[in-house]
Amino acid sequence: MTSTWARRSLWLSLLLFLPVPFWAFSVGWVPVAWLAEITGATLIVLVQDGGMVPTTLSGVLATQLVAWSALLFFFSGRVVRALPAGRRAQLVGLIGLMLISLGLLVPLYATSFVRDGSAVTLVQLFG
Amino acid sequence: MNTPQTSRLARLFLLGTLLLLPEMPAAAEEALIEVMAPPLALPARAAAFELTETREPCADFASLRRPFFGDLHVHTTLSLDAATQGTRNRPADAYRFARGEELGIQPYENDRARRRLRLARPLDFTAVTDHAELFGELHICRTAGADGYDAILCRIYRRWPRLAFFLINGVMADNHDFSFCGANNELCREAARGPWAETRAAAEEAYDRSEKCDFTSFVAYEWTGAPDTNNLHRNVIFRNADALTTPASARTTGSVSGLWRALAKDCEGREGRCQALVIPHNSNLSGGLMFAPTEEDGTPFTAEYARRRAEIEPLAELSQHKGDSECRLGIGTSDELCGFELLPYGNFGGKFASLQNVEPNEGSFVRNALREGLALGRALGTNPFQLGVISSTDTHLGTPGAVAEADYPGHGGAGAPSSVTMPVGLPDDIEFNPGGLAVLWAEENSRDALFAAMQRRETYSTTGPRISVRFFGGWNLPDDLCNAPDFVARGYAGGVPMGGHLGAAHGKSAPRFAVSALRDAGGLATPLERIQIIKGWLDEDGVTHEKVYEVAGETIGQASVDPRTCEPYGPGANQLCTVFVDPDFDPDQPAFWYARVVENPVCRWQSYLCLTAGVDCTDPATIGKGFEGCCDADYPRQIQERAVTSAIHFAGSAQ
Repeated sequence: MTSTWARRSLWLSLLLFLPVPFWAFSVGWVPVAWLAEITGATLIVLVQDGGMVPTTLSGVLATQLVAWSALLFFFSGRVVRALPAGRRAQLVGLIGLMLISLGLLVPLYATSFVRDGSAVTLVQLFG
Repeated sequence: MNTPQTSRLARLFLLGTLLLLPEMPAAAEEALIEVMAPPLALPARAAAFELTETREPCADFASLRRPFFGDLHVHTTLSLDAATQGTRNRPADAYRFARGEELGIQPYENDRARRRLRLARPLDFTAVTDHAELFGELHICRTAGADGYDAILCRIYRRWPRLAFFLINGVMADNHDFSFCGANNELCREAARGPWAETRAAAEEAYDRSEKCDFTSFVAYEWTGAPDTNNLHRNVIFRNADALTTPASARTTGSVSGLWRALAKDCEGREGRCQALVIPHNSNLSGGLMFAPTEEDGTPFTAEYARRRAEIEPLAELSQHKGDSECRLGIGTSDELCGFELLPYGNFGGKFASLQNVEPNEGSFVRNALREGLALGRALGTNPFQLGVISSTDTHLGTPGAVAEADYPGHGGAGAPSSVTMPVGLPDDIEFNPGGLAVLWAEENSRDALFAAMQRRETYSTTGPRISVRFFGGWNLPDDLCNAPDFVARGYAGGVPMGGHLGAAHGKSAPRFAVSALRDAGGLATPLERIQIIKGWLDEDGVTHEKVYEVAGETIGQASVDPRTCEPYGPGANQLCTVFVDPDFDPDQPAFWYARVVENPVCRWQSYLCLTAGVDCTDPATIGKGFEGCCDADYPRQIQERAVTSAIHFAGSAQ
C-alpha cells in the first residue's frame, strides 16, 4: 500500500468512526461523517426555505465539518509517516478495525439531536 | 369538584380547620366561611354575568363569588416544541389530567410511558393553548402519505426532532412559508384545520355542562410572535364554543395589533357569540418589547390603541415555567422579594446564544408596566396597562396544574429533551420552575362566569399553593372589617374587589384596603409569613414611584427549611387579615395598589431531587451527572411561594 492510499484509508476511518467534539446549541461527540449528514440536511433546508437560523446553523456546522476534515487529513498524514513502511497496510487496517469495533460496541458518541444526548453506539447514532 | 356534597365537605373541613386556629378571631372564621357558603337568596345568573351559551345552570352559585383554580397555558403534542421533546399527550389527555386522572409522560418504551403523573387536587378549569403557528406543518410531517410528508424538514423532524425544533422555528421566525406547504401556504393552511378541530372538540368534550359544573374548559390557542427572539407570545381564550374558524396566528396576522384586528373582524365582528381575550405571557423574555410604550414597529400608542389594548388584554401571566414577570430587583425597584424565579437572559435567543441576548428592562415586567400605564393614562386618557394577573404552568407535557415543587418532572418547553431516555439528573433546566395557577373569583364554574371574572380582572396569581386571597379597596371600609362576619359582603358593598377602579376621591381622605388571606391547607404548602401591599403612583412631574408596605404578619423571617430534610419549620399564620389605610395618598396622583401574600419558605424543586440523590456540594464526588445545578449558587435552594392579586386602580382627581 502506498503512503497516499494508506493516508486516505486512515483518513476515511477517522472520518467515519472517530468521535470529535462539535457544537450546535450544545456540545456533542460525533464522527465527522455524521456531522456531514446533518450539515447536508441543514444546507438543503437553507436552500429550500432560507431563514436566519438555517443560515447560521449551516455555517456553524459546515465550518466545523471542514475544520475537522482538514485536521484529520493532516493527522492521518503524520500517523502514516510514522508507521514503518513494511507494515503500513496492516497497521492502518488494524487502526480502522479497532475504531469500527469500538464504535459498534461502545457508546462513544453523544449529541442532543440523538437519544436526548445520552451516549450511543455507531449504529444507534446513524440508525 | 363543586358538587353540593363536596362543597359541604369543604365547608366542614374549613370549619374544622378554623376551629383549630386559636389565633384567629371568631368573626374572621365566619367571614371565611361566608366566602365558601352559597348565598341565602340566589340572584339571577343573568344579572351576575352575560350568558352567551346554552347550558344547565350550576347548582352551586355563590353571589359573593368563590375562588376557582386553574391553568390557562397548556401545550400538548400539537405544539412543535412539545412534540419534538417526545410529548404524546393530546388535548383530550390534558383535560383528563386536569380533572384528576393519571397520565403517562415521556419517555416511552414500546409505546408505554415510563413516567406517570396525577394531580393531588384536580383543577376547576383549564385551557389547552397549543401554538397555532405550525398546526398544519406538524400535521403534514406526521401524516404518512400527506403531500409534503417526504420534505427534508419533515424527514429531519422525524429523525432528529431537536434539530427540527431549531430549524423550523428559525424558518418561522423569519416569517417564511415552508416550501412543502405549497403555493400560498395552501397545504399547511388546509392541514391546520385538523388539529384546531381536535382542540375544539377536546374542549367541548371536557366541559361539564351539567348542573354539577365540575370542570370548565376553554377553546384556546397560543399566538406565538417573537421578533428577533423577543417574546411577544399571547394566549387567546374564547368565551364559549363559538371560536375562530381557523386560529389567527402570528404568521397570518404579523403583529399584536394584527391579532386584535383579526379577532375584531372574525370573532367579535361576525354574527354569533364569539368573544375572546388575549393574555400576554413571559414578558420577562420579551427583551422589553412586551410592555414598551410603543408598538412593535416603534409607533407611539394612540388613544384608540390604548383603549383596545385595555379592553382585549385585561390580564397578564405573571409566573410560569419559564420564570416570573412581576418585577426584577434593580429594574426600577429595590423590593427585596423581586428576586423570585428570575432568568439569566432577557429573550429566547439569550438562552442559546449570548450574542442574541437582550438584557431585561422596564418593558419586561408587569409592575413596571403598571407604573408606565399610569403615565400613558395621563397622556392618552386611557391606561393601556391596567393589567390583572394570573399565573399558569406553560407545561409542554400536557399536564396542566402540575405545580408541586416536590417530585417535579420538568415541563418540557425550552428545557432539557427527554423524549426517549429517562432524564439523567435534574429533569429540567435549573433556571426553570413548576409554574403557577390562575385563580378567578366567580359565582360559578361555567365559561361565562369565569370569562367575566377575567374581563373584570377579579383574578390573582399563585406560584402553586392554593392560597385564598380577598382584596377590596374603598373609601369607607371600616377598620374592624376583618372582625366582621360579613367581611366579603361589606367589602363588595363598600368598595371594589381586586381588578377594580376606585371612584372619585372623598376629599383628602385616603383609600382603605382590606386584604384577607387563608393558607393552602393541602399539599406541601406552608403557613403564611406576611401580606404586603405594593403601591405605584405618578407624580405631578410625570415620574412614577413605588412603595412596598408590610401590612400583616408577625413572624417575618422567623421560619426556614431544614436543608437536610426539606422540612419547613418555624412560626407562621394560617390566616392573615388587615385593613390598610394608605398613609401617603395624594388625591391628585393616579395610583394602583395590589396585594402580595407570601408563604414561609419551602425547598425549591431541585432541592428535593438533590437530597434524594445524596448530593453534598462540599464533596464533588457526590455530584452525579446532571446534578450540577444542585450546587449552582445562582439558584436558591429554597423559595417563598406567593399569591399576587390584580391591582386596584385610582385615576387621580384630575382625570
